[in-house]
Amino acid sequence: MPLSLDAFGRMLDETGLPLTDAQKSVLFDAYPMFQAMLARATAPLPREAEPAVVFDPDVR
Amino acid sequence: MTEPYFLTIAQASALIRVRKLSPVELTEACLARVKRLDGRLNSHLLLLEEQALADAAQAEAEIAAGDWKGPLHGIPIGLKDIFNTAGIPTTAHSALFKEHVPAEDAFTVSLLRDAGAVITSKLATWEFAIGGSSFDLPWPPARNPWEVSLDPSGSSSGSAVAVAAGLCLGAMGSDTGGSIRGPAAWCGIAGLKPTYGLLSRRGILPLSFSLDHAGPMCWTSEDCALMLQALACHDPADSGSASVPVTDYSAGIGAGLSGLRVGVVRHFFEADLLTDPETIAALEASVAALADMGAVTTDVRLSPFGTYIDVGSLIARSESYAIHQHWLRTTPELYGAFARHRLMAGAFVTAADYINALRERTRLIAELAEVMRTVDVVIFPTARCPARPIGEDSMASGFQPFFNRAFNVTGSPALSICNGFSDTGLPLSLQIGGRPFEEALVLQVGHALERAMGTRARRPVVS
Repeated sequence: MPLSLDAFGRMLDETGLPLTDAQKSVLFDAYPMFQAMLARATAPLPREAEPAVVFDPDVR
Repeated sequence: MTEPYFLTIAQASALIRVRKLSPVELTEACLARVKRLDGRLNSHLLLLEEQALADAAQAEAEIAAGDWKGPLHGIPIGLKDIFNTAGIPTTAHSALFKEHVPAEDAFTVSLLRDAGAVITSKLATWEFAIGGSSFDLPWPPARNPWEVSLDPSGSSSGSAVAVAAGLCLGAMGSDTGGSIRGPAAWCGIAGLKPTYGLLSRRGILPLSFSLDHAGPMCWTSEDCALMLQALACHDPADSGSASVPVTDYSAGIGAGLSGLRVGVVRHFFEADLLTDPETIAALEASVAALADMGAVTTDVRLSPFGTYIDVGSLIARSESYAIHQHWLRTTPELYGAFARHRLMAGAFVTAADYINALRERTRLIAELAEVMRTVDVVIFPTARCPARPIGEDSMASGFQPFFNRAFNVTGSPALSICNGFSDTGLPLSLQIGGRPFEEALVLQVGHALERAMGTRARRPVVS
């Protein structure tokens, strides 16, 4: 769902990044593309599906 | 005779070994060419003239004394400026690291020195290997030697430009989302992203821990094999370094391809991302050339290319944000706009998003492994189109010029070669992917195709 500029600004504030209004605007313009990417890349997987990097005590 | 700066590493090395070419003369020829051309190309951040000439003189003396160290002995090599060099600035092309002088060489740099290579230069990069061709940094962006108004791509931009223009004979690049293969494609050279862990990452400024790869960039696949031989080495101080037997990476150079099973990932360029007709025509000509050499080609299917972009981007954004978070909060003004915006986007990825991207990555690795049981290599274009005008890049455009992410996500080896030229004289490109640690086969196919397509006789004329 599209975010309002105000809601996006609140989300940015939580990151602690000191951004100018112009920088916020650039990120805001690109955010829908990023949101779509997040939605596509985190499709449901079986509960037991492991991440590509798992702890292996033999590695080190 | 070919000008010394346009010799391949294999050619120059053969002449140096029998003392028909002097490493000092070769290095001087490259340095002179840098001084003559790089004002237009911007590929060099730092020319190490004095040290390079001293190293070349030492190589010459060693070879004269019968102590030939191998094919890189006396060969001028450049380094992307994210590879640490002891006592020499390593800036990542950023104001943030303008004064950064490492105490030690990157492990790969020390291996190059051990092999007798002459390190000539620190080369332009996209800022911190992510920024883009930016005009708001302490140095200008590198420009494409085939046409200086065009983008060489990145992030290993200076490495590709310098090799293509004959400013050095080989260079080191790094590849997190295609940063060796993209500029290799647009500058018409060969660039190898080896298997994850084959080359040490120690002493290379990190971008994304699980996606970063170092690799060679050269005029030919054969030269990439020669550089890889000196670079492939287990590094116990790099937690991602693979402990695998080092093979002869040149073993297949010049060998035939009869019976080789080649999978064409046709849906990448026919359905997933709109691709330029000349690029597709060059790929089809390469498929025909492979068949003429006795290879058996077949179409194979992987996940849509967009899935690799999404998964790779989320992982890269998360890991790079973890690295840069402190500086983004405290000194954001020291980044250029491209790097700052791209890095800051990682702040929006949650832990769950990151872990789920890693889980999807497992599925993609397994899927590729299954396909690679049926074929020996896969091919598809590296770039969707020839080089584009410099300065077109933007945060919000979303344009993806390359088919590179797939092999960063899976960690398997991939080589970009030049397989033709557009009507306007710009390089076209092909990518060859293999099974983990089968670099020798990938390089064998690259060499055979470079020969068959006849692209290695044509160099850019810098105007």
